[in-house]
Amino acid sequence: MVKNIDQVIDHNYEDLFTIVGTSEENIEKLETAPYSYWRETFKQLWKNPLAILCVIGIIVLVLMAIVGPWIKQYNIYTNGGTVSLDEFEPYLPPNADNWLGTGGTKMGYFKGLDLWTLVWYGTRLSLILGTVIALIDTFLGLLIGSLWGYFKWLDPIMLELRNFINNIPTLLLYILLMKFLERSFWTLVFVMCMFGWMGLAGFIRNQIIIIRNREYNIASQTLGSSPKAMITHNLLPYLISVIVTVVSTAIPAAISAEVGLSFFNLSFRAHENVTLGQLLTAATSDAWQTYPYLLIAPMIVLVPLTVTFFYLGLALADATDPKNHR
Amino acid sequence: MALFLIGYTIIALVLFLVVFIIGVSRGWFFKGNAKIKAIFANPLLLYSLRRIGSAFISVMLAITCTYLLIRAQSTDSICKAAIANWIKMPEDVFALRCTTIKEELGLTGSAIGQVFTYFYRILPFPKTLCSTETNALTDALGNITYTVTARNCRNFIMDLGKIYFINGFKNAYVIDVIFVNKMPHSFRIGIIAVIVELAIGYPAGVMMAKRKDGIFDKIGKAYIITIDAIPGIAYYYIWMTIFMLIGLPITYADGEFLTYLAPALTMGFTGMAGIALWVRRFMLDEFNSDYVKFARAKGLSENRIMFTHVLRNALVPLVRSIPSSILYALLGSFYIEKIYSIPGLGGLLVTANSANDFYALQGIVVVSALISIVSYLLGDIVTAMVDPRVSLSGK
Repeated sequence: MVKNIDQVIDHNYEDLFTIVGTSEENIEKLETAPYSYWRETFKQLWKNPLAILCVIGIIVLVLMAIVGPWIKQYNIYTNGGTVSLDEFEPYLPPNADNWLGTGGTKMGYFKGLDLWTLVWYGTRLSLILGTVIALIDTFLGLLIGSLWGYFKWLDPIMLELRNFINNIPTLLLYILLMKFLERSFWTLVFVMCMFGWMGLAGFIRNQIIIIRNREYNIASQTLGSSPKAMITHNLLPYLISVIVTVVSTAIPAAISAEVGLSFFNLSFRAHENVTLGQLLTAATSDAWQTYPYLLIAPMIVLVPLTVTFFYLGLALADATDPKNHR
Repeated sequence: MALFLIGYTIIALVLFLVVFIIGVSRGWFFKGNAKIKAIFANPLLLYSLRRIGSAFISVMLAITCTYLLIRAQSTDSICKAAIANWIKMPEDVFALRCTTIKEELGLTGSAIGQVFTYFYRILPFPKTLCSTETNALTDALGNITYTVTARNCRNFIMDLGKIYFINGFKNAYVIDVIFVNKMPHSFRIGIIAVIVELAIGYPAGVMMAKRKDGIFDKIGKAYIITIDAIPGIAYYYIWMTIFMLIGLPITYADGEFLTYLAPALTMGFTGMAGIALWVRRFMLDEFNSDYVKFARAKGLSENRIMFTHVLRNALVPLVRSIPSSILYALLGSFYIEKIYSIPGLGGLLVTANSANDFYALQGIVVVSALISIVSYLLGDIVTAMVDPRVSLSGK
């Protein structure tokens, strides 16, 4: 035994290694590509087959929202979409002409209109509305949330404001505000953004309070960084994963919120603009139990639309987390 | 008069109690008595008191703001709704009658003054409020004369005003309508829903955490994502369709238990997703903690670790939300009540809005604000009872 170990120890090192030589040029070269945060993120994202499916789904839905109404040429805004003129049987189930059927008698303005066209017009407006609201909410939420988390004196005031808003039923606030405002795209955006930023702001505030007193922040503060630099260079980049997730789940959340408002007739007036929420509400006020296609038509877009955005948000949350990289 | 005295005595007692608690905790009096001092030095008690105080401020703000927002609309329509046959009335009689009604409701004077009147009315102590009624008298010649007669006085603990607009509740007191007529409907649906969501959501969360990335976990996660993502109304209708196909009655009827099931299950299956997600996340966090590693090192079985160690800790944050979910069941859900046509509180908000009924809307704000305060408080107390790390007695 001892002899063997001696043999191992008294090894001739030159047998184990070969000298390749040096070259001045190769010293500066890196064998692997330098680490890039966003490249790693997308690499992670494309590893997830469900996320790819969601991206494809979103692209298809967005394309259909643009192209869909053109496939069937009915201009609903000039009431040219009326297909079933037969007053006695307005409930046309899906057929070769109307792929998703036509609106029923109790659907108000949508009575007798082609549901395929309506659904894609609705998707278009719902998507635009959702995106605009999500962007504004995110901007406000980030701005207010980071200030709220960073400045300690702001905390009691903002907590009081949050309690105040939480104490009133949100629907009542919407109802009251909508009574005073003309119904248009921007008033709807205004009303929905008025309280929408609260959730994100509170979330960012909690996250910032957790990381605010870490060593690197204290060091930065000691060196005299301004609050602006602290927030934009130290705090928010740390939270990028959280922020990306919130933005991508904010779009389906805004679409859902609009559906909720439509249900109580607080959204647009139906003859001016169509949203998926209005279609759903109109279908539920009609005899959808007898004619289920009325309800299926908006659902068939609404459910995949929200689920794909939401799942993509969750997949992005995993992919943007640097702990999962490499 | 006696009622007033009782009311002011109660208020004085409450004020005294508040001063007493603050005083003892700050060390103004009872400096020598260590026992009393120890009770009030308890951080949880002080924390709860501070929370209630801040909640009261925000409730007052909320009531003021909604009052002013609602009040910004014209109040003349109230008279027209309140007085029967107002069209036939001579103008001066109508004006007189209108003033009496407005005075009775506290709608005269400046906006801020009205808010204070409203606060006086809703402060919970006994008071007597009177209302007047107009009677039409027809004499032998057929002329109609109007007299303001019939002074009805009522004793109130809390006066939320009167409902004039909603058909079926005309001239009813808001408090009667809310507590007596509406809340039982909302509450019985809500309480079944709470039971369902706890009974299914909690074990589901445990099962999901137990076999992470197992088949059950994947199904559960897919369900939670779907519930989170798609709009509430969409899945309420999906559930409704399923219940319809099963054969459950979907139109609510008072007193028939079978008809409660569809709305309650719809609500419960929705709420259960949130609870399952919470429990799962919390259990997974606890699995990495030191005491679980120690228990495993001692050689305890996984089931034992799960049920005697982790589950107890996972119970604590969940228990805090139970009182509030039970109390919020009183308020009902706007959507569920509209979909299943339940005559509950959630539906009242919508009816009151479309009827422009001022006091019904305001009453709902007050009730929901009170519920939020009480559920804060109960949540704290229940946490102290369940969590051994937090104690009410203090040491």
